[in-house]
Amino acid sequence: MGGNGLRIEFRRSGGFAGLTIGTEVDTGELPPEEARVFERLAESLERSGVGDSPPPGKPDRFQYELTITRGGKSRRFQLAEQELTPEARELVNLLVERARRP
Amino acid sequence: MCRSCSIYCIVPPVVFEQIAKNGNAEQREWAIETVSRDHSLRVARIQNSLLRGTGPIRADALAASDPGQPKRTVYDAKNLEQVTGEVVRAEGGPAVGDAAADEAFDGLGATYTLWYDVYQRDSIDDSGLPLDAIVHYGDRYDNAFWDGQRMVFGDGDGELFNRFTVALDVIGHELAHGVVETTANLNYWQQSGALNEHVADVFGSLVKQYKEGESAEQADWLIGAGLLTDKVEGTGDQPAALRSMAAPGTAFDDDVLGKDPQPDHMDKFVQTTQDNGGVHINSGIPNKAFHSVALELGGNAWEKAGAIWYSALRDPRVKPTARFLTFAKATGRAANRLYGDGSAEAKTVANGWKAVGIKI
Repeated sequence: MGGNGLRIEFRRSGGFAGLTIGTEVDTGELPPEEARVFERLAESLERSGVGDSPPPGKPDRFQYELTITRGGKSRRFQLAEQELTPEARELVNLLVERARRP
Repeated sequence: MCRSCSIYCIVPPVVFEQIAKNGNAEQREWAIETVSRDHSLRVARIQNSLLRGTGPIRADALAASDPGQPKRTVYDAKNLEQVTGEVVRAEGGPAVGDAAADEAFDGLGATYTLWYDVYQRDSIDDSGLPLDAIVHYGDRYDNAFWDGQRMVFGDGDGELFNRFTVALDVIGHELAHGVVETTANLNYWQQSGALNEHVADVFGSLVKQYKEGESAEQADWLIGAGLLTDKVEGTGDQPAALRSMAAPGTAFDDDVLGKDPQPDHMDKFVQTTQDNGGVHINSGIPNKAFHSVALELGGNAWEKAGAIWYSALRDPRVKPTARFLTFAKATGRAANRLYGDGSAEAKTVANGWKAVGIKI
């Protein structure tokens, strides 16, 4: 992947606890197989046409903010837990898993 | 002339129902003011249906089957992110030995009991809504929520969070979101969202206080005590919790989680776009006001302070976009209505808000 990689900055806020967690992923630094998963899911999100504006909040659900940077261009997505597509949910779950690592 | 001859002697309940359905805002308000002077169960039920706002009034609002009895069902999502599953415990059934299922069942019961015993509200919608809960939702899912129809509980990741059924005030908090949805229906964004959170914390805490028989003085006023694992550090000798209504900003102070960000005064109001505009952060301000009022009124917080707040929640002037000041004023009106104009209770309410920088 090398220089063709993409970078994802991720933040989860809200939830009952109201705590924010976050992580950053640079697919260029990941094993190829893992990198391909992130790239496939990121592309799916970019094509989905959602996330340009903050979705209406629902009590104690999570809110997600993802900034995807490729080729020097960044795009920000704002997503609500209750409105995730299956692919976005998979992406978010992977990022939450990484954010939890000490 | 007889003192029992209130307006109810001459105005049949059906008229109030008609006002609820067809009246304009002023007429609704008159009906609400009028019924608020009677505290009988029947009248409370009429009042609750009146105050449900402009939404449809259920035909059975006055005739729910078995009022006073919760109708609980607990489902097991088996660690999938789904809101269906196998029924693991239903009303009348024995404990099943699954801590999450049994705690959810008992918590739904304790929550129902507070609302029914103290505020004569028959379940979330005051029409006997069955209480459903999903447990073991998702994989190490760090959350619990009311999705508009049911309670959903995650098991927590075990690192920071224990299972979400472990704290009764969490269950009470979530179901209170359901009550808010069927009353003031506060938008979950910025100040109205923080009020939504605040009301959920108030009644979540009151569910626990009522169950434990704790006075305002005795209660710990913590939200989510026991929910965070032993690895998370509290402040001083206090074990970690998620929020402190008595001292917002002191619930936790931890290497991983950071420090509790809640303000306790309008001077420290936090502007942010995260967390729906800081709904779990700025709720510290009205939380502190409620705590001050409850402590100054003394005795059990669910009695006077809780009644005032519940009445304010159903004030027609508290719209979905309400800000702190609007709600604070509604609590002042409620105190005047319930305990008399210029009463000690009304002054206490005003003082509680003043202490957090809100003048009503």
